[in-house]
Formats: sequence, structure tokens, C-alpha cells
Amino acid sequence: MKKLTTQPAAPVNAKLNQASDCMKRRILLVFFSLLLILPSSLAQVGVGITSYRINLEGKVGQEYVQSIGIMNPSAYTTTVRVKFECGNCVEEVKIFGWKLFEKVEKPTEYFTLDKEVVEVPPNTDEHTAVPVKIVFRPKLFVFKEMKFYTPEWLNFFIQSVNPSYGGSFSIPYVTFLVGGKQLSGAITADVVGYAGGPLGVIPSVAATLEMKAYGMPLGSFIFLVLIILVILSVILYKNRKRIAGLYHKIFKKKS
Amino acid sequence: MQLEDKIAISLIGILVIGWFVTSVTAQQYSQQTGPINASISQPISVTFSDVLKNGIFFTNGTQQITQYPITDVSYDNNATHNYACSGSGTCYNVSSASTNTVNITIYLSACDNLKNGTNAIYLTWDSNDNGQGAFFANGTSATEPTLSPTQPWAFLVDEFKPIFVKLAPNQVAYFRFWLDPWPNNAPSGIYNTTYLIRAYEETYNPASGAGQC
Repeated sequence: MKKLTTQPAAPVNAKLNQASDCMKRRILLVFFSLLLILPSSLAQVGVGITSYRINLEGKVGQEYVQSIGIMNPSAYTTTVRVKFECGNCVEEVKIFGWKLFEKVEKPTEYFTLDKEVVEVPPNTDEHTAVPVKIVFRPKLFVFKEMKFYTPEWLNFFIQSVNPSYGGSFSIPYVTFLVGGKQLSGAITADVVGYAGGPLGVIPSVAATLEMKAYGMPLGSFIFLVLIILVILSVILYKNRKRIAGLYHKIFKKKS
Repeated sequence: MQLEDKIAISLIGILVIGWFVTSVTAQQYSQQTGPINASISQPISVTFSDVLKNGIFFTNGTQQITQYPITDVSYDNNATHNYACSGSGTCYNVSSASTNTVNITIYLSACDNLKNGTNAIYLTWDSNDNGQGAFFANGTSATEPTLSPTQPWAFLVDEFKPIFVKLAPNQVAYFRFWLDPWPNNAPSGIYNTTYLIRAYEETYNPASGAGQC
């Protein structure tokens, strides 16, 4: 009986085992096929910066270099755009509450990033992050811009001559970096390309940045102005007779 | 005394005064200058779910997964994956990395309104239809985000809107999105835009989303 019971049972088990082996193979086949054919759009995307806060502090005439790293916790290569977003670069200049113009700081006058776009390999962490250098070089002469906005009624006339006129114009000027200058903002890393498929949003992360640049101390500036005034006075005093002659020549002739 | 001597004495006098003024007023600066001597390496990192990365696609009514043209312009129409994950949870999420050491705030800025040529569907808040525009809701679980078609939950265009405040390290923020399109007479068509979703350190307050896309 045992034989009767065990003998028929054996082939059944064997069939079951065969079936389960077959099923396992099929499942594995389906699994690996799915891995191959699954759209890569089903992969999440990530981005990171190795430092959440960056402090730059230095004085004129010196160069400082600080490195940050761009990380990619996702499974595919990302293309990341790195830039500085300034929080206080635009200052309104007003007279009696009426806005005259905007004074615009150019962050590149103080520091620059050595790369704007980087390719970040998958699964990069703090140790394997793609480096981006911040070169901080405060200068004594700083270029800035005055941005004027023209009223709508005037824009109509300007645009009839220059159709691409956008309603504002800028005048660059140069100034001394006297005292200190503080800029605050963020270094942003935006994912603009992804090897794992198209992007419908721009995933992004930001590290806050505080910059303090120290230029010519105020006292030194006052002293420089005094020296220039003295030199001018000496020149004028030494040439007073010639200047007086010139004055007489010009104004006496007229009279 | 010759004129040159007078000038020389005056210059020496000015130099002495200048040195004194500089030494007094420059003290505040001299104490703060110096090379950068500490490099911080505490990271900030986030991961976006596959569905959120693909974009926010609005579908008709309560439909899910597949995007259908919106027919009811007075209804808060679902995004395609609001309820498409397990347990009718949302598939839209952003994770803060476990290696982060600070809380983060997640901001959203629509790069523009939904556009089809010169036609537009506005994403920003409007008080008609009991509140219309594009809305978000957030939560710390996939089923938590609940619609509130009010102004604090409406999208902004070219401006950052905090959509999750104080996300702790290793925590996940879940989102759902809805669109009640306006104007209600917007012509048929496919309307597109791009969204910028950015994580900042919790204490930072971004000025504007303008020009960020």
C-alpha cells in the first residue's frame, strides 16, 4: 500500500517540481525581460550638493578657491546646470519714494564658477561627487549697472525705432570697493538632462551662499581723496599764473 | 620757508593724519579678513519619484494613470497619479537623503502658465468657481494630501511657492495636484509648461523664481 501510495505520489511531485521549476524559469525570464524592456522613465531622479552652506570671505587682491561637489543619487547619468542665484544683487535707488533706477551688482565681479554644466555619473555621493570650483577674487574696481525703466508711453516711441526694446536699459559703471560688500544667495544645481528618460519637471537643489568681500577701508579711501585733492591743489597753485592767463585770454576776449 | 618745503611738511602732516584715521577705522575690517580656513562638507540632497520626474499631467475628473482631455472646466481635475500608487496613495513624492543634516523646504515654481500658442490656461489663483487654478496638497504619507482649493494652496508662476516646509533628513514628502482650468472658455488643445521644484535649506528664503527656468 505504501508503494501504491508513494509510487503514484512520486510522479505527481515530480510533475509539480517540474511545473514549479518551469514556473520559476518563466518568472525569472519575465523578471529579467521586464528589467530590460521597462521604460527607463520609471527611474527616479536625484540631485545633491556636498555642502548645504557655503561661506566666502576675503579681501581685495587675494584669490580663494573653494570646491563643492555635485551628487547624483539616481541610477542614470544626469546633466546638471550649476549657477548662482543672487538674493540681494538688485537695489532700488529712490528719491522721495520715487524709484529712479535699480543698482545691479554683478556677482561675477567677485566670484565665478569654473563649470556651468556638468555630467554627473549615477550613484555619486559626497566622496565621488563631480567637483565645481568657486574662484573668489575680490577686486578694487567693481563693475556695476544702473538699470533704468522707461514708462509705457515712452516705450511706444522707442519700440517704433527699436522693436526689440524691452522697456529698460542699463548703463554700466565702475566703482571702488570701499569698506565691505556682502552678497547672499544660493548655488543651485538644476537637473536639465537625464539619461533615464525625458524630464517633465526640473528637479533642483540649492546650497545657500554668503559672500563677504573686503575692499579698501573707508579711512584709506578718505586718505586717498585727500592726497588727490592736495596734488590737485599743488598743480593748480604752481600753474596759477598760466591758469590766470588762460582765464583772461578766454573771458576778456569775449567781453 | 620755500613753497616746496611747505608742501612737503603739509604732505607729511596729511600722511600722519591719514595713518591715524586708517588705523582707527580699518580695525573693524582687519579683524574680519583672512583666508577661508574651513570647508564645510555637509550635503544637501533630494530624490524625486519617477512619476514626479516625468511631469505633472492633469487628466479628466477623477480618472487615474491615463491622461484624458479635461471636459469639465469647473472641476478640480486630478493629476494622473494622485491615487495611482498602493492603497490609492499618491505617486508624487520627494525624499530628503538620509545623509542630509538639515531640514529642507521644497519650493515649486511654474515656469509659465499652461500655454498652447497664444492661448493660456492660468495656474494661479482665481476666486471664481469657488476657487480655480492649479492646486497642490502635501503630507508625510501617500494618502494624506487632501484638496483645498484655496489661495495658499494654489500654484505661482515665475515665483517660488513653498510646497513642503521643514522636511527632515530621511523623510519623504508626498504631493497631490489638481487643476480647475481658467478661463473657462479656453480653446481645445494641448497646453504645456515646465515646473521647477527646488529644495533649499529650511532657513533660506528664495527671492524670486523669475528667470530660474
